[in-house]
Amino acid sequence: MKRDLCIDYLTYNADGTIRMVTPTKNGVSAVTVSVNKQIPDCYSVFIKNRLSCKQSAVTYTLTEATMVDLKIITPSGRIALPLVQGYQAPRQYTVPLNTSALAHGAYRLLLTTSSGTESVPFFQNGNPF
Amino acid sequence: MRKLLVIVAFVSISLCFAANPIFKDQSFTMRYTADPSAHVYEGKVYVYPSHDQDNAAGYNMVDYYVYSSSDLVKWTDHGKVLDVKDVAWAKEYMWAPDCAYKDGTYYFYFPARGKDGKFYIGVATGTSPGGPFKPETNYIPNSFSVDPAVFIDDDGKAYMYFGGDGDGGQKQPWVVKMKDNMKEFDGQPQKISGAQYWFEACWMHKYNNTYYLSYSTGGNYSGYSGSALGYATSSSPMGPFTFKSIFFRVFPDGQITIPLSNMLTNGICSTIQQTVAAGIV
Repeated sequence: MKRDLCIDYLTYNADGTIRMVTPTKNGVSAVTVSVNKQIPDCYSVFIKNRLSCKQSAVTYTLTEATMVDLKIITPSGRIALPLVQGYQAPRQYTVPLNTSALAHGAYRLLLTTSSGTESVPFFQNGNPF
Repeated sequence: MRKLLVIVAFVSISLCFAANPIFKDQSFTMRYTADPSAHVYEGKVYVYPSHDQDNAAGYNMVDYYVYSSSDLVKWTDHGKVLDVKDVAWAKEYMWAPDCAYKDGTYYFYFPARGKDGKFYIGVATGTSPGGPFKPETNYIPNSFSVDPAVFIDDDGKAYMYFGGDGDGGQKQPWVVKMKDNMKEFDGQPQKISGAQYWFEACWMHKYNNTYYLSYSTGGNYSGYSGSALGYATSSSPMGPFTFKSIFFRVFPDGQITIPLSNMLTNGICSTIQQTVAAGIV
């Protein structure tokens, strides 16, 4: 036999029963992204840490060729900084971030592909990344 | 400490996306794998699968490789951790393994067919979750059958769940408490009741003080023509268990899923299942 492993999310109902797992060919997103989504406090912590901001970049991996739309938007949905828009081949991409032109405030990094949309909220404190 | 981890994670803004199968498109040469168990050790997820050789005919697996990941997307190949040639009592068929950690030692459990033609469960030990593992001279006394899964409860007591319908017609799974040395059974294995539609591939996890025994139904689930995964729960690791439901079915395009590992890490629950690839390898 020639078999392979897959990963998909498993979730519970409030009564502890396991929900039906939906098998996918997309797998799961990186754990780090999900952790950020679940802990809003990280944004205030992030503001205090200027040094780490200099290391920022967006890394994403495409497993198939797809249209890609990567941008930073405001809470109202306005595009604050377009980053990538176009058809890309399957491989890993790293896009450096320079948000020095952004005003103070809350933003959301949005990545849309044919597989769906992933977003990461962050707070711009006026210091360049 | 938790906040520090969050900072690092956020600053990297790592929007990585995975794809199934998980070992495709990694930096190492892909191997065919099956029968996974998964554990979180030293801040990473370690996966312990069986290994289908490239020229495999049937299920005669002869060695084990281990993989780890810190994000479930990028994986590290730790190489071969055990070979049937290094196991004095084993002849062939190294099927679904598992790993457990206790007091500084990693215990790698594996089934194999012995030189007398019968299946037993062996154990090998190491100091790293990524192996290598040194096997004991003989198999675990009084062990039999396949697919060991070892669960360590909050009180430190360890239990092994095992059995396979495909091996000698086992019609129910088994559970046995382990001795503190993790290399011997503490008493005789007991039949597990309540695991309706069970076929093979037991896995135990605990959630909100409830013990979840999950397993492959093979073709035993009458309401579904393909293979599925089911689970039963209990207030005790030894049972009795009450069947709850089927919670995973095959892909719509006919790919087959069989054994699994449920794990809980960083608030993310994942289920790892093997796929007999039908056009996606």
